[in-house]
Amino acid sequence: MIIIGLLPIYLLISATLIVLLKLILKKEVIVDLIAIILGFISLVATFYTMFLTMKHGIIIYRFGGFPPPLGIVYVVDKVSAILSMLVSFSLIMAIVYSIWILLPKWRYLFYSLAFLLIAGVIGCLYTGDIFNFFVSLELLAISSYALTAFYRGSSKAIRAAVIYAITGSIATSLYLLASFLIYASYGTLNMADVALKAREPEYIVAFSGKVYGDIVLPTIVAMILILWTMLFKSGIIPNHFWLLDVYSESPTPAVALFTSTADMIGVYGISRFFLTVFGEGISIEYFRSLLFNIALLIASVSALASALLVVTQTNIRRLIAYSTISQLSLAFMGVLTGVPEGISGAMLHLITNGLGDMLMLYSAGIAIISCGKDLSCLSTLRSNIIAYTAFVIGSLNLFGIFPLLPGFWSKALLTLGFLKAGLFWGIIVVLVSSGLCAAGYFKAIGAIFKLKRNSFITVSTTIPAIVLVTLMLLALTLGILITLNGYFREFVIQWGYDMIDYKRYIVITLNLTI
Amino acid sequence: MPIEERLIIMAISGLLVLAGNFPSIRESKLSVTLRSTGYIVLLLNMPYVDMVSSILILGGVLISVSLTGFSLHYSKIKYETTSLVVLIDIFALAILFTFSSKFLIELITFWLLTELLGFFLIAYDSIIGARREAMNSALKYLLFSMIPTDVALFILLALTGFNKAARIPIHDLFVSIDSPILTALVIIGFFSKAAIFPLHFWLPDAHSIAPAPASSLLSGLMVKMGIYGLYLVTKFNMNKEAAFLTLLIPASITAIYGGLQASIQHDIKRILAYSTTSHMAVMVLLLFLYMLLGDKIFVYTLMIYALAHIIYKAGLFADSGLVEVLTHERVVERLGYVSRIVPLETLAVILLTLSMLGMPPTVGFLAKLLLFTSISHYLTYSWIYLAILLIISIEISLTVLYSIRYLKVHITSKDIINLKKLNLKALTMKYYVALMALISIIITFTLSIFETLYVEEIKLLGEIIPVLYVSLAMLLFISLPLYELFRVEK
Repeated sequence: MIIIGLLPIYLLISATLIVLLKLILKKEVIVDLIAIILGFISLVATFYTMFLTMKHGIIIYRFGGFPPPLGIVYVVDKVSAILSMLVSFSLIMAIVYSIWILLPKWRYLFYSLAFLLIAGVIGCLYTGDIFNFFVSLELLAISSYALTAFYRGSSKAIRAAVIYAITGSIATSLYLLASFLIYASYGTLNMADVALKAREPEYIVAFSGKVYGDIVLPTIVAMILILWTMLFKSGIIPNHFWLLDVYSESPTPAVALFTSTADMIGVYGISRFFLTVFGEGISIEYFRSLLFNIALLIASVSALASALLVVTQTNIRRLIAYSTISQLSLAFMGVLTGVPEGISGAMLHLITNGLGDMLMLYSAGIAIISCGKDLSCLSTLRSNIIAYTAFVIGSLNLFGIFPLLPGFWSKALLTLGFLKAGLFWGIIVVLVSSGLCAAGYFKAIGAIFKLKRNSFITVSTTIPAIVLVTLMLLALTLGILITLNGYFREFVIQWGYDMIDYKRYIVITLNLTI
Repeated sequence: MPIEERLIIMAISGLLVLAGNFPSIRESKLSVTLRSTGYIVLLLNMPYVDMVSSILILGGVLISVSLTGFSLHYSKIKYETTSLVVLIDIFALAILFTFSSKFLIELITFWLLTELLGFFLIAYDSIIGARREAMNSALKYLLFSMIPTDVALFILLALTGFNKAARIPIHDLFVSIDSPILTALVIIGFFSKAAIFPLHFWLPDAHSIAPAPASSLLSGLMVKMGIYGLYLVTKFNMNKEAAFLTLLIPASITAIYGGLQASIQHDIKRILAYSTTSHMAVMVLLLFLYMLLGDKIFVYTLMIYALAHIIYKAGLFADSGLVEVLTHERVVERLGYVSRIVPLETLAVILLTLSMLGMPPTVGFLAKLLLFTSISHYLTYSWIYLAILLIISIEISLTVLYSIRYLKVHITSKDIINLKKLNLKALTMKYYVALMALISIIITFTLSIFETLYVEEIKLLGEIIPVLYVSLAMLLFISLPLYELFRVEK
């Protein structure tokens, strides 16, 4: 299935192509058009990948034809495919929106950085190799640092980028250390191979043999380090501080990209590593349950604390930042239930968060351009029905109160997951934190309808309107599908079962004959 | 999926009400007619749902029809826009649709919609720019009423399973809530909607700060949703000890605490708000008795009690709105002369208060009658029933106390302060309050005469018809001279 191997490389080439085209052609309109076309091609590619995973279950691509664990392999299951669809969709939305909001002179830089970011994200989603995950993670991270500093004349943006860069590098270096430990003890870096060896150390795999050294202590340390890195990538308290400044200072389409693509890699990484690789049945099961409990505690405190802070914000971007921290913490908790419904709820929650945040960000972007980042500036949206409808639908989606939007179903699935896992307090955490966040969203909605300011929208808003309408239609379609169609609900719950089905993952990747 | 008649009725009703809300015709008599017709159409749904839901729909439709004109006048006089009317209508529809729901997923959808609209109605003053504290009250409502109710609803949805929630009617569902923690969570979740201790404190602020027609609906209909939710879960298999403890103790505390608080309030709307909490507590006690004994009579009592409360509470809140717009004043001590300006209104309030106190010929009398006979039947079985009877008696005496306090707004020998500042346009609203008072009498006779339609066991209602006629005669005999008395004292 060559498409999945080609996709990240195609994205890297697109990034370079855009810069080159701009330098050669010098006409911005053509560059914009080409960027949209390239983004569209990647969307088609991810759709095709999704179609293939529906047909075959798990699809594999071996780089250079080398069999794992000798070579690097891309392993794509349904969850990775769905998330990659969300990612490429966000890319197109960001490109279209940036045509409206960024200066034509610098837009090409945004496009190329965005393509690099998406290349990193798709690499993380598709990869089946621990070191390749690090490489994609670094690519993702460095592109985000650059995107944060996009408004390079603003000292606040530079400061945000520097903080993000330094702390981000430390966090990803911790992941690198973990991968060294795994290599030194397991003798392999392939995820499926490590998954197999963690459960049966004596099993002999072609090219990597048995376990190389003692695996107990290195696994423990590696798991802790990976947990810490993933907490950082998703911006969960106590590793959340970078997110606030980054979300405040980056350009709107960049923040939208972060929230729907880059920041969900933390949750995805945790589910891949703690459910498939170091999942159930590993020899140090006692430690795994201990670590899960500690992580659940951290994530719940994060969800509640950030939700409490949402309602006190007066800057719309920081409000969305704290809301993102809270929602991603809830998704984190969903993964840690270890129950299929909870995991599907977490993955659906990533999609919900992406759509909801994009709706709120893109409509608030109109207000920020006309007036500023303050909450009272939102009253400029009163005249534009599409803008405030989008904002309201985005908040309702994140609050999860309307069954015709996917946010309701992700909350319901998370509740079901906690119920099945016997973690009743988790239900209270989910509902209390989403309720607290809603207090903030409703404050913002109230600010939209307040008869206060006199500033108006001074620019034409057709492009943002197109983006917002597309997003609203997607959210409503998804919600209506889940509400009315039982098969689709089953399909969503199946994602969780896929995640914990490590046997199938190992067997298909390593081509074993069990 | 075949389209049920129930859904068609709901759709027609919704369309009529929304049509009446078109900006161009919103302020005309046509609008009131259209909207009232829309609500009355919803009565056709009554055969399709169970008894408790149908009585709640009946009460809801009656007050919504009365509030159509009231909210129009109130909104125009107080805010000079009519955007409040649309919100009120959609809110009323959402609550009525919740009661008309057959499937769990339908119930949850409309329920959540109701809560959302309730938030914006409570915060209405803040959004319109009049009073900023409204947003704080609304946020308190969100945190302490919406969130716990969401906990209860989502737990029920998860326990039922998504497919069953969409396919099997609620009354055929059988869910097992074994764990005591889950039982307590579900019950407390619905408590927060009905404002029972410890999640009661959001209600006085929310209901007093909302605009008057909104308060009528909030106190009249929305808190009943909590009782309705509790009634639904009585059918499920719950952890008995946890359920009994959780139901009995908070309700007993709230019944007395609400009454005590109501007696010392200065703001007329807060008196009514605390009164709501104490009446809801009585309803929870009735549900407790139903769960304990399984005797259907407690459900019937609950239904009539709820119907009575819907009508008189909505009417009294409407009156508070009229007083507020008329005199720009809400403090009891500074009022007292309303009877001299609007004697018809005072008569209506006296009728509604009679309903609250349980005097014939109002429907409150039926409720009180059933209340006492049903509990007295079991008095000798255990000390619990005596204790509950005692609590209810104390609650009733406190009701008398604060009813008199409320009546002081209308009937005190005080001179009219600031004759010039009175907003006489408010007088247009008096007819709607009077309508609600009349309804509470008419419905009594309707229920008694048609009691065989509902209840075979309670021959009681048929036997008291002579009492009702006599009391109606006495009422008419007294009210005409009273009206003259108020009018003359101008």
